[in-house]
Amino acid sequence: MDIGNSLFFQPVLIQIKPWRRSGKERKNIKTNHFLGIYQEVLPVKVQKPAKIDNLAALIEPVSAFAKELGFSGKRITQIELILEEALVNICEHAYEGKDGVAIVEVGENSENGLFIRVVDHGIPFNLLAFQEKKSTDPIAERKIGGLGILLLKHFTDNLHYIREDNKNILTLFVTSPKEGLSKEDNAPYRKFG
Amino acid sequence: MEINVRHDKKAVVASITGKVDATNAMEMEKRFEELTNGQGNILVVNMKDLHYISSAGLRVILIISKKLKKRKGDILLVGLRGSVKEVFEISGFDSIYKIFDTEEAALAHV
Repeated sequence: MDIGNSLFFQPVLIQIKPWRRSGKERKNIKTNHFLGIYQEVLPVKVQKPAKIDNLAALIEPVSAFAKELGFSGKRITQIELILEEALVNICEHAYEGKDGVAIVEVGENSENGLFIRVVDHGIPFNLLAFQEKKSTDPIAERKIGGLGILLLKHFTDNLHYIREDNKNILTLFVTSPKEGLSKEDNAPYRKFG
Repeated sequence: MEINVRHDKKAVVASITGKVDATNAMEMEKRFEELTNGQGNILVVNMKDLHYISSAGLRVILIISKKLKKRKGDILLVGLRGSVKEVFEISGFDSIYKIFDTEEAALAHV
């Protein structure tokens, strides 16, 4: 039996600290008072109908979180691109024309990294199975699809996919390079849209 | 995103400002369709003030250039920089399009 999810032992959400503290304090803890069971709750979770019009609402909280962690303007732009490509794929293909949701969660991964979990309840789709490569085919022969996956993979440090409980769960790991940044790299954070 | 257009003797010049993503790529496609429906076969796209482009924007560039190629036309790109330049390099678009530093250089090529 999964005690943490059973009806009797429903976890109680307790906010330990406000978010905007130091990195290690940026957590919420779910605690079951009976057993002392706890699990971390990620600091940002957004759920919206899987529509292109909701891209900004799904992406902006991640950008803000990355900014708070000290990511450069350039890296935040890349994170926005990664997330846009993942979410557009959900909006256009996951639910085959029917209504559905897209969920984005983000948390710290290490001293200079974060992970973004992108979840949908649509048809199974393992993005990692697609081996899109840089193409130099002339314009007339160039395929129109596949560019998004190519860009997403390029700007992501690591990717993980699992199909679980009828959900596609894609986790994107992103680090913040600390060296070789130009003035442009450190440009102020730009609002999405 | 904002698109400003001027008509040169040799080409139509469209300058894009801001950001092209999945929310506004259709608008860009529609505008470029209009600009290339007439007699003009050459579209110069100035991207010096474009800060962001996703695959949705690349797709529009590809669709319009395929259309122009069929009637011996072309798209010339100007002023790619920062993350936009990087996206063109990663996708291989930098090797299939003619890219210039300035509008003058692009128009001199026509």
